[in-house]
Amino acid sequence: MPTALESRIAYIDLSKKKVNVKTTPREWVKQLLGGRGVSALILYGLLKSEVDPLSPENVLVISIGLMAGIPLPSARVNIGAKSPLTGAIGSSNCGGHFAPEMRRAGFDHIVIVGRAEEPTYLWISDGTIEFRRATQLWGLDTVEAQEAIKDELGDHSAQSLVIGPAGENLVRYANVRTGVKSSAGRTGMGAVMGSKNLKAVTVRGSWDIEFAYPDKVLDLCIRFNENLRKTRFFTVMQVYGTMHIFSYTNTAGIVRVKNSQSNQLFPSDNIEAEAVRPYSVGHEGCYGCPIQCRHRYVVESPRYGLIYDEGPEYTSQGCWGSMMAINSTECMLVCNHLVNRLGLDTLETGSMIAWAIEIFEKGLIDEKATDGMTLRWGSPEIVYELIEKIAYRKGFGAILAEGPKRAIEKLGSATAYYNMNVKGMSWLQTEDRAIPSFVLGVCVSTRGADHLRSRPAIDLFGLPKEFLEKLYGAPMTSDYTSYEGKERMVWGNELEYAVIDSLGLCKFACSHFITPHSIYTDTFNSYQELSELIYYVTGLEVTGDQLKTCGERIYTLERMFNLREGFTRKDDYPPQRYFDEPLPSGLPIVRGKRMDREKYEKLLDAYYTLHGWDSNGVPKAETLRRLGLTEEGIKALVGEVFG
Amino acid sequence: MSRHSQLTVRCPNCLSKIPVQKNSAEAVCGKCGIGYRICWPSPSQPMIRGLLAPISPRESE
Ligand code: SF4
Ligand SMILES: [Zn+2]
Repeated sequence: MPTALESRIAYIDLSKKKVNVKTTPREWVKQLLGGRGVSALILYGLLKSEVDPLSPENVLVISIGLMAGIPLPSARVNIGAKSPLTGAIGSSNCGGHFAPEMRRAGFDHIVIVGRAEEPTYLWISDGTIEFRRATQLWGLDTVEAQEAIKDELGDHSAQSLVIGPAGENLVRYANVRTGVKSSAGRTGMGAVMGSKNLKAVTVRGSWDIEFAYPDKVLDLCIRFNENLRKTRFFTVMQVYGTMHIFSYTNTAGIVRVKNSQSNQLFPSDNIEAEAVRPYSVGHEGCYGCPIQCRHRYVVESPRYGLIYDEGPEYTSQGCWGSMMAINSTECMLVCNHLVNRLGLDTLETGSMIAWAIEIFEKGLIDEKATDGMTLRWGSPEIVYELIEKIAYRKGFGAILAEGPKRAIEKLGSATAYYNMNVKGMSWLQTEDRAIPSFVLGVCVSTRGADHLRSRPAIDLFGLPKEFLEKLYGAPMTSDYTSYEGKERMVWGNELEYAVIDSLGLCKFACSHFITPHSIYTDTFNSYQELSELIYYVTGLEVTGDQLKTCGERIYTLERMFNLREGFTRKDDYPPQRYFDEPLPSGLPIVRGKRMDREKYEKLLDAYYTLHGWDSNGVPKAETLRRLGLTEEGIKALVGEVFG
Repeated sequence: MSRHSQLTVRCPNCLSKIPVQKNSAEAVCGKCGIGYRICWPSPSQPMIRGLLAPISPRESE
């Protein structure tokens, strides 16, 4: 019977068609929990630096969170590898129903190396692993492929992680998907699967999941759910999903418009959360979640006919609405559908297209580069066309499919200023230059420009200083445009999110990622409560302080991976535009704001200090010793399985 | 009345609480005078949907 503490790892060599099964060392669980944490260790331990991410030597790690299968929003599965987009650590997680099913099928971690001779999918069921032909699936979109696998297996409860045409075509930001909507979007893990000729990993288990103290687990989960339901956030998420955030951010003027030329779209009524309600035919969500945050929607499109899909999230709302200056519900819903089905990261795709339109508008490229297309803002047809071209690497799409770094090389260095990326991954759909905490978090994120590694959304609420001080353990201003103390806010959230990701919990449901109400209502968000949960689920005693140290260890390990690949302090800065151009629009509190380089340098220094890293962002020897991350320490940990 | 059942939204500009009339589609911040469109995820929970009108650069100075 699988338990979180007695789990198994499968090491799969696709070239040799060989499988080796080991037990997850208890030390891994204690030090790295699961999911993202274990993935970081395996990648650091097994990969040599400078491996081509699209070569058979890259290592793909599918790792479920330690809490997978409990009756809470606990279904996150992490997918890790060296990123073909950035060359840094690749790591992305998604919800759905895959993770609990994988545990029931007998595995917590799947490590995949090599390259299959022909398109293949892995069928993992009740402790067995089978290599199956996938030539019949190659070319299918992400939903068709899942349906075809279910039909072939005669099992409609089987859960798959799949790639779409974008992954097959090695688009460097292809995602991995499960269900109709859940996507491990960032860092191009779908391209790594495609490079391995791996169309899908399918799991089905009939084994029970055993908890150390089942009654206590249930009590705690009930308490958590009750607390969650008391929050304002719960209602808003149930009705609008993450799209509700746009109403606030566009109102304030902190969204990207026309790539990054403006920060507020007006009018925007057709892309606001309320506008999607008439298209909604119900709600859907992940395993164990009382929120069920996504719309199921139907939309009629003259170009694509009748479409059914789920979502969109706030990210897609921004990418296909404000970033393109398109105030159209239909366009937003169709684009969301296209990227979902084709297996593209919505954010990277939107950002690359927005960049292309801006550099065309500025005369830095012309129709010769774009296959004769005249790129302009506000045109759904142009956006549809470009999404398809990227997924199939057709013409100009093949350039955009390469992601920021390589596309800039192809289109000329003059275009670089307009490409909003950090470490080679595009900035999100938000315009953050008025909010130093957000900028710092995005820039130091280990996987490239990203908010999900730390975003202190709480900074926007103007909470009392005393409250913030209690929460973060040091004086902190309530002013979100200030730099004061924000290194601690980012650092604190980084550690917390590393723990939450490694436990496999959903940030929306479990932390103050979005809402301070979860804190007011004493909802499940403290290390103390998490350690209680871990004890009841696994029987393992981990104190709150030890958990926080797990967060530090995971973050530092990811940093070490990147340093080994040549990333340094110079890669922790926002695009130059953030320092040069004041925000042209928005509420008085943000209008005219831009980043101050001197203040940012100081913020970065203070942030490194909190991590125990030197002024170049390199972990100090004493930090590595404290976290057990010396070369010998890591070798010993990795050696327990791969020695 | 519990804290959460008050009909208010928070002004994204000055962070003051703005009272909202039940079912109203608009609210104006008493402190900074900015007008917002309001939507209702539930009958007891108003939420800012957007601006009533764009704010000109002059107003913001
Ligand atoms: S809040 Fe949404 S994304 Fe998170 S677990 Fe629930 S349904 Fe999934
Ligand atoms: Zn105000």
